[in-house]
Amino acid sequence: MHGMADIARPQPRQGRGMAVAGLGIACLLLLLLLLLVWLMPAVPGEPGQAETLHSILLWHSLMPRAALALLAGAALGLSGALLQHVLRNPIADASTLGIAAGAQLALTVALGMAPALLLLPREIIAFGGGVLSLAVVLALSWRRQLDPVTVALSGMIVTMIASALSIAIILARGEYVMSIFIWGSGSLSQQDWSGVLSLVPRLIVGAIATALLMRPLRVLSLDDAAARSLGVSIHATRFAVLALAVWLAASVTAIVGVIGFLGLAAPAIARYCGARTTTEITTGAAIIGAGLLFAADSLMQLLGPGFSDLAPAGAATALFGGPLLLLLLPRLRSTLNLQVASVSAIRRLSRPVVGLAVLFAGVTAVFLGALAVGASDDGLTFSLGASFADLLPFRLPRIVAAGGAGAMLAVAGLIMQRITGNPLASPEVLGVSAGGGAGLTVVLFLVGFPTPPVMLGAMAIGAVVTFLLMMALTARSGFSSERVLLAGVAAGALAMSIMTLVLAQGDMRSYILLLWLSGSTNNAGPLHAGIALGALVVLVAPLAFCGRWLTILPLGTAVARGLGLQVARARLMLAVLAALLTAAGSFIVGPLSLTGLVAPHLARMMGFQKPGHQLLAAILLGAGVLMGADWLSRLVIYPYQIPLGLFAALISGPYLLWLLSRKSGSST
Amino acid sequence: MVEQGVPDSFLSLRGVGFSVDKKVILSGIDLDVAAGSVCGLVGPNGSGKSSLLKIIARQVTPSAGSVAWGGAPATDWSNRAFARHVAYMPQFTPGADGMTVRELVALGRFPWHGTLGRFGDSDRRAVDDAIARTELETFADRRVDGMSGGERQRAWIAMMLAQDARCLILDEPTSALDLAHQAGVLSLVQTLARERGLTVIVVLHDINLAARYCDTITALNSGHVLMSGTPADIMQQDSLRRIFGVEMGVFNHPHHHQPVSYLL
Repeated sequence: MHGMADIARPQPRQGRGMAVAGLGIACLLLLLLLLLVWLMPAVPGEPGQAETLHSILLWHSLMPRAALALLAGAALGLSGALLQHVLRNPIADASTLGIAAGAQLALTVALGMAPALLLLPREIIAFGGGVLSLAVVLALSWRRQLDPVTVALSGMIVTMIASALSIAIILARGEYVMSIFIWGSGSLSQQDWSGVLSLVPRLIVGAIATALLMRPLRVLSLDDAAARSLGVSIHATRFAVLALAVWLAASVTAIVGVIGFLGLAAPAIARYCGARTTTEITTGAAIIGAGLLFAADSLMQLLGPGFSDLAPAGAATALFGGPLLLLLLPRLRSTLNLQVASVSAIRRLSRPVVGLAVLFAGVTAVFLGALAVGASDDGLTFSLGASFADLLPFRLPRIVAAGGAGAMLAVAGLIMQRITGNPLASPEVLGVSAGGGAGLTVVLFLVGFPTPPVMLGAMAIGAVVTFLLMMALTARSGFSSERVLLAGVAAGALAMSIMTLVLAQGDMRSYILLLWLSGSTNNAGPLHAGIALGALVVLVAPLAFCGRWLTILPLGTAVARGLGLQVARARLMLAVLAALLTAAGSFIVGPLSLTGLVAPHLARMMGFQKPGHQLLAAILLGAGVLMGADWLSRLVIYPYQIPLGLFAALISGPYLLWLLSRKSGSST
Repeated sequence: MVEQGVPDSFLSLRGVGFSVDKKVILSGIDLDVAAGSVCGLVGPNGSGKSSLLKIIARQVTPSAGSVAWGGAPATDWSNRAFARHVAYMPQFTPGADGMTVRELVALGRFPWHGTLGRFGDSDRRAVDDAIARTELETFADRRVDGMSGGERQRAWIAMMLAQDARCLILDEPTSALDLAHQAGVLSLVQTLARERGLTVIVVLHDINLAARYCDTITALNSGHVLMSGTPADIMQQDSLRRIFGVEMGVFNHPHHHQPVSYLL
């Protein structure tokens, strides 16, 4: 009897437990605040004056900062809960949907290119950018009924393109906008109560709007058809809620910058604690978000020497975002089966060797063109003879470096696509090149000014660790395409947040990292060319013996094992090879170029289907694409140059978007 | 009936158990398969027949018990030697992206030539033979992913034939096919087994198909072997009730006189 009662009425007990836990956490937060006040460093100087200063610091910096952390956290938690609910997507939040990156891009554009725009409130600019990004993401996944996996992928790509644009602008106008990066990483330090005062009314409006929308929201927990049959206007509700969520997130972004992944974490924790109904989740998320951000910010202050922040709170919360995303992945279910295979293989070339010869001729033409043709004040100039010889030492290394890097990334992408059997896999999408960046960041922290070989080594370690970790995490699902892609999104986000920690410092190390991110070949000399060619030869040669592995592995573990292949060993060897190729390639052109995705793809679309032919074609195409991009990047805004990696990303990003939208059309 | 406990029988399982995350899927499975027979595994959903098949095919390792092929423990076989002896087709064959039928069938020669060995005349002959035997000559240079379900299934069976193994293991080979193709695929498998003396182990959903094409049937229920015998032994009213938990009737087919069951 007793047992029965326990099972029948678990509610009160759980409720009391929750209340106790909540009280405990509230006490902890209060303790943190007291610690902050108590440990505040004493102000030097004459006692009377110091006391005044101390109280000014306490009441105009420390207190508003604490209040702001609570408010911003609550707003982001609420925004995340709304986004997740309305998109039925447990990994939706301002960071994963591209809202944060879009808001940041809009503010960077305003600051760097059109200062007149700054007459508008920052919040409006940020809101505009965020809404635009979200609109692109939703448009891309609209025909797939906002399938969570497609939304996550589109969000990642939009984030990537927006970041590439932001970096390009920052590098072009460094003197004006470097501060954007410090702001961009979410520093909460305050001089007065203005931030708090502007956020309070917005949060209140947001809370009231949420309460008003609660009923349609609750119905939206069902699927669209059921909600419609209950008489809810789905699109109107959805757009109202999305606008509200973006507005909340953009307000926070405009006031304190990007606070990564808080909107992801807060609702997830709320659900984990047992919040079940829509009301419970939204309120829970707001409260937990407030607590989380306050705790993160207080800890950063307490841990930093003399109350200088160890890291901006936004960067600190982003650090937890990556692992959390990985943790949430098993819960994410694609509502539609992601049919990635349908993109590929339109035709087969009947004579692939002839095709390869044509490609080779084309790439040679690009190579010679890039060597001989340049821009000058009177338009395009041909350099032949003596002037050609003069220019050769400048042009040859960077062209060779670009071509070699392109070829390496292409091969890396091809291997990744074949071992995971996933046509969207590539160093950039799987976060492997960003993993190399994380390695680079660590070595910048440890060494200060590392030599190129040390940097290359660190990147290789970072890339290998990232890729092996990802493979290990997704192996259990049999490398299902959505798991692989989502783990890639998570790995990339984690690596980017590690990089943000350094970027936020705003010192020389940030500049080195920013330069690497942009993938500039301006300073590529014989060393870079040598690394590119040497690594290409050494790393691609073993593949001559792996053709059969590359044919069998896309068929999946069961078939490969049935044929007697040592699957784990083959995968491991190829994965290490691909990660090393990625590290060497992105050492030269940065992590954003997307060559690793585009080149193997183009090779397939041209009809090179056998692994050997596809490999050679991808090498030629990768080299050709980056050599051509390098050439164009010298020409289009002469006398300035666009960094190669960014330029390539800006060309390839739209291609990837087109691929995603086309896929959605053909497979449903 | 198969003789029990012969040490070097073609395939014998002793006390095989399998659990995932403390959930018991199979326990105490004893099973012997005679060389040259077509052995069907049947049972309701979740009875563990697919897991058992994966253990037999060495796709997963059992948590308890032993599997022996020709008297030697399965773990003693090298990967390629095992693949030369046993060919396995998963329930869902993967999309052979952009490959032609001939290229797919040629993959079946991997256990023979390995990673670096030459693709020689004997390999070529085996591939041609497998394509001819499955009547895929006209499709040989067509792309696998552009073919219909039944043709695709035949292409995968051709790959298993090219593998030249003594035993074929098939996991619900007919699940995605219409009636005509179900019969076509199973009668092809049955004929091949007779002609070449192959042993076939096949999971089937449909008890009538199993009775029609198998020499012996092993019925599983909630992780145990419930009964094992000829189709005539299994196709009894009370046996079927014990296996599937519903009342079923049996009558003899008017033409080939094999038992056919139906829901009561």
